[in-house]
Amino acid sequence: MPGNGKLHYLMNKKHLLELKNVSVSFSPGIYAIKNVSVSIKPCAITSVIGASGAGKSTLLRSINRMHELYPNIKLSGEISLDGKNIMEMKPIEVRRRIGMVFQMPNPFPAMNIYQNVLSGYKLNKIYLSKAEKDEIVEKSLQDVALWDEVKNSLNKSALSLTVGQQQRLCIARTLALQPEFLLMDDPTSSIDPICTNRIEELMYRLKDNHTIIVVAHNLSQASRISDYAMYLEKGELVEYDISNVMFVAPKDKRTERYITEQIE
Amino acid sequence: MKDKVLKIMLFCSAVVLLLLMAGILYALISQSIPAFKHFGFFQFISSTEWNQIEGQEQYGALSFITGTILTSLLALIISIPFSVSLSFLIGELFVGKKIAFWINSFLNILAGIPPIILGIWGYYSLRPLLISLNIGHHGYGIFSAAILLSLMIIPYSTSISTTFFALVPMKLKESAYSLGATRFEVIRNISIPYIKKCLIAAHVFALGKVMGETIAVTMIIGNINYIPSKITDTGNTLASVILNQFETISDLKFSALFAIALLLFIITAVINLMARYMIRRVVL
Repeated sequence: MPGNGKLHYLMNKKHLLELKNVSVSFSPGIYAIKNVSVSIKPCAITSVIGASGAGKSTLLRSINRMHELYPNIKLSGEISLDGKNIMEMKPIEVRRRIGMVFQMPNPFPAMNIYQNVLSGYKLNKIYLSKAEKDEIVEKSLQDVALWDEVKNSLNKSALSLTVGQQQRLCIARTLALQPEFLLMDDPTSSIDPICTNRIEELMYRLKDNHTIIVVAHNLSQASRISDYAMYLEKGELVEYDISNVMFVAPKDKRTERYITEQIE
Repeated sequence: MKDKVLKIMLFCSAVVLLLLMAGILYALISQSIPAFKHFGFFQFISSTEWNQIEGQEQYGALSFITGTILTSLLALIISIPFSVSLSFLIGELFVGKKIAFWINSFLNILAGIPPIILGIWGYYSLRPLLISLNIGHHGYGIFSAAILLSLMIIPYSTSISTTFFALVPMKLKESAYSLGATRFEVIRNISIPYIKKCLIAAHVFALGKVMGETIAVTMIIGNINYIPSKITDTGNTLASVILNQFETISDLKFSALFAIALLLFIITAVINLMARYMIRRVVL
């Protein structure tokens, strides 16, 4: 399982993501996440599973400080990136290093396909030459296996693509900024099985150089793609283990019950 | 039974409103016909003549059409930076915060100020200021009127624009934030392009609303019947000429003023319909 990329990261002891006693509340006393402590394994896919309302998406969104967009959401505890508390870093830096793919594809409607891929650079005011732009667009779209489908229509509106293509475009947009981490919030829920396969293959390829945390509502998908899995229940982290171990022989009764229910 | 009564009442009020509207339009058209017959429609709208001496009567609306369009457009240009910035503040930057409430309250007060008060302010405060800056003829003119009109446009266009900011889907903004964008970048690159057409429509709406504004404009535009060559020149608008000339009138002049009112009605109706069409195309 560990590839060259993983070895590189481990040797450099970098790109480590750690959560210590992280709690997230939407209003005083009501917690979506309660005291979650976990050290995310680098260059691997970690799936987050649990019932609706277990706090999976909230956990994901707190990792790149998206929760701050909603003033009523409060976070306590510490999330550290390479040993540095993310709350002491600039949110822009955190979000550039930790990219996010959402449940529903959301390309920017006022931009064409080409501009959508480069939108991260535009939004961050990073100026590129035409050659650099072309290279990034081609590479990012190739990474998500979309290049062949859109190379002759880069000037078309991103909304002209199918939902599956739009989602791959959104992943390309995130990858274009070369993040170290990828947070994926159930990225295949709105697309067909063929596109789902493509995205799963893509995730598998990306994990050599990226640490991926994916919220998976579909248990079979989680067991198929992830190296590690964490089970959340009512905001609490019940279990975190190697996926093959957790899905076959969960240590906690609550995990076992959830997995059994899902299989049935 | 109650439902049926309510339905009939609502239907009746709609019919009354439509009849009223038709009545106004009928009055405008029927009273305008003598002027259009006498001068010809195209001659009337393309002539700048305004001679009320008996036997030599000549009436044309071109200077007033020009004055109306100039003051309104200039007012729109002056108001856009303010209304767009204010709608950012209320609808995006300070949304849900106290400061947004205060700005909104201030705008509501501004919207509620009767035009006559703005006219008096324009006459006694703005005009001396413009005189000291050597703008306009003794402070009168198109530019002075445009400033007053812009004060009337700002609360209106800000209020509509603010509503549009709420239309920008949160998922789009979140995507931009997740790519490391700052708030300003999100507004500039995501929110504004998304609602650009709505913002234009909001201002076209506001333009339609102030085009017929009369009293404040009449007090400060100078009321001279010629086509202004620059924005600091004095002029006249369709609305202010009606107000100024409605007394001591001959039958022909009476009809000419109705024709001017009809033109004003058509221009504002077209602008309002245009704005509605633009908004419908973007929103629906």
